[in-house]
Amino acid sequence: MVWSSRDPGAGDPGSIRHQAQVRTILAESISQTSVVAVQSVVTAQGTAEWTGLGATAFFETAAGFLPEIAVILSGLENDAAALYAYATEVEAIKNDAFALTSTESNVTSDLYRWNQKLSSLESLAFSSIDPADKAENLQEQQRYEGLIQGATWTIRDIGRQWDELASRRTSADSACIARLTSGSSRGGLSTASDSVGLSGKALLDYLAGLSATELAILLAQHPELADQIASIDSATVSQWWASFDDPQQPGLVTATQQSLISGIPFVIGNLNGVPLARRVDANKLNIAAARDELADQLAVEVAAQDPDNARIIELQGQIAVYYGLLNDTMTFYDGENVEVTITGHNIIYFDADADAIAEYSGLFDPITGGVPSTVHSLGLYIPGMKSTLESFGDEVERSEAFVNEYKASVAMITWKGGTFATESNMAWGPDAAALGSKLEFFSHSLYGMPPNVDLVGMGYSYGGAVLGNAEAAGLDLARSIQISGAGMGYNVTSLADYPNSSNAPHYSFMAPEDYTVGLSVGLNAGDLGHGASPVEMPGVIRLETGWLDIDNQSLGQVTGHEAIWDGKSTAHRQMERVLTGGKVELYAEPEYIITYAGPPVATNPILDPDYKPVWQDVPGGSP
Amino acid sequence: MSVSHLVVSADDIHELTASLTTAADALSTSSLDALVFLNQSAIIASGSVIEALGASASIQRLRIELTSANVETLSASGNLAAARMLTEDLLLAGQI
Repeated sequence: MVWSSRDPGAGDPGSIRHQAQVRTILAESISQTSVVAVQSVVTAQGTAEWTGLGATAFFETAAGFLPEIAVILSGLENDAAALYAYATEVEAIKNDAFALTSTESNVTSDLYRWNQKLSSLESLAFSSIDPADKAENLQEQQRYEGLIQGATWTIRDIGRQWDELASRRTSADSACIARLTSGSSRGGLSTASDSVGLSGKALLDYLAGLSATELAILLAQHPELADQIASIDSATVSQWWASFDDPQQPGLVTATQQSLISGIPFVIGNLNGVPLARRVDANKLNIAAARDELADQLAVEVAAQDPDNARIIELQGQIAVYYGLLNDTMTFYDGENVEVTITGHNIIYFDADADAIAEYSGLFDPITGGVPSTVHSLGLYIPGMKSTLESFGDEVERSEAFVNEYKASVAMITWKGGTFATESNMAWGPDAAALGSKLEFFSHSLYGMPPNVDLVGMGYSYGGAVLGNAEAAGLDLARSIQISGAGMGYNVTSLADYPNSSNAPHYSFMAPEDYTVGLSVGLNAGDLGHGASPVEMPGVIRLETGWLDIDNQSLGQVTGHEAIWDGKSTAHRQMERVLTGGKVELYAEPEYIITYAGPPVATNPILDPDYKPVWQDVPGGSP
Repeated sequence: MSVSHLVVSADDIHELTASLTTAADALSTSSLDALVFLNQSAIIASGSVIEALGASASIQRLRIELTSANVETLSASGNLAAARMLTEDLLLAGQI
């Protein structure tokens, strides 16, 4: 509604009061019920015999509700008071405007009548010849001219009074808006500290001033902020996060940090610059939320009572995966190689909608929450095509095998940061390039990693192409290995195409009879293909895949696409050596023997009784 | 679960969580809808005031809903603890 200067009292004071009353009643109800009930729980802490960690958290959480509810009450009471005052003023303006309208109408009517009379007297003055009548006429004219003059002044004053009423309405509107947008009404979300227009550090600082509830409200109302926050550089985020650390209690998650984790877990769980351990905290909330969402969907499907509903099986499987992510126990090793068991996976990237997840295998530094300095090699493993959230656990087990072997000196990240290709698009270069860009962006999560930690890329099959694309996008690595990799990256023709890792040692291997990748590697036909072949590109050191069991060569050679993962194989040892440093066995080039009756026959050098492996040291690695 | 948990009965925790349920109900079942303005509300006051009131109402509604959900979650976690405790009690009593 827009009021006008001729109607400054427009509006309905009764309805405004009703809105005030709604808030008053709601505030009273909450005050008399919720506050009393929560307070009774908090008070019970002093007398209850329920002790232990669970009880402490329970009572602390309950106590935390009281200030939250206080903000709700403050808001409702503030708004009610603002509306009552506003209704009173609008009503007063309305009444004054009504009186003024009446006065104006009367004066206008008098003025019209007096003008008519004056015109009549002036006409008579021309027709009259009697001097006495003329004098009387003139006297009457003067009297009416006086009345008209007075009425004119009154009308002018009425105009001024209309202006005053308009000014009062403007003031009433402004005063009401000021109260409705104040901190008393909206808590930390008052317009005085509006996030609009903020960016970078200023935006982060604004977030840190809000409660967990307010953060959730802000992101619900402005979902676009999530992308805006995610784009802030990791150095800025890292410094900002650390500014809330308690120097007296290093490693403790402070109240501000906890509010951010609880309020906007989706943002914090994937925000580069936030310590990895805190991303894990946030992602536990995200996974629980995703699990609950699936459980709701499952309830709907079950209610439909269709015994052939495949969706039920699918949902149950997904829920089981999320349950495992939250409840599985794993054992890693601290800096003294002492076993430490943790509950719940270290999920450092999670976006169910984007089919994205990444897990850190190892322990975090208890102070920094990041990669500990006892780690010398951090493997970044990217699995192959058709990797899904459901199959992700199997991929993580491959990473854990390295950690279990090398304990505290090795940690691993298993990354599936989006939907991986299936048979239908496995050769489509741009898709792998898009995943590579995401991987490069994800690598900024390692900002602040101790300088002694070598980041080692390990891309398997389609994941090799993703790794190559990430390097082409700027991923910086100490070294890398293409594990039966599908390509060095879309349009990549040489290591010079990697802006930050061209000088890093690059290794690769591919077993004989690998028909999964071997037949298509090196294909480049427009957007089909993943760039140069990892086993042929100049500068990449090809390694031997060797035997299925190094200690029992009678079991035969590693062949195909999967056997390389056998923990006893030469291929697996090659991966370990690239990861941790040590000697690797170079690829034994076959010789091609010309035959009379057919195509050339390739020799199999390692089967030669006189075969002698050629070794090469992997630079870097363990000190 | 530490032994110290067993000094309180599951019923005691249920009593605590019942209070929280009451608190959550009072937050969520109150006339929240009245906080959301209908279109015709635009005739009752200046548009700028209605806009500010609507924004505040939206924030307050979300704040009430989130707080209510959090209270409910705590109540549920208390009930879970009580259920676990009851199970342990029954195990100790040899009834399971």
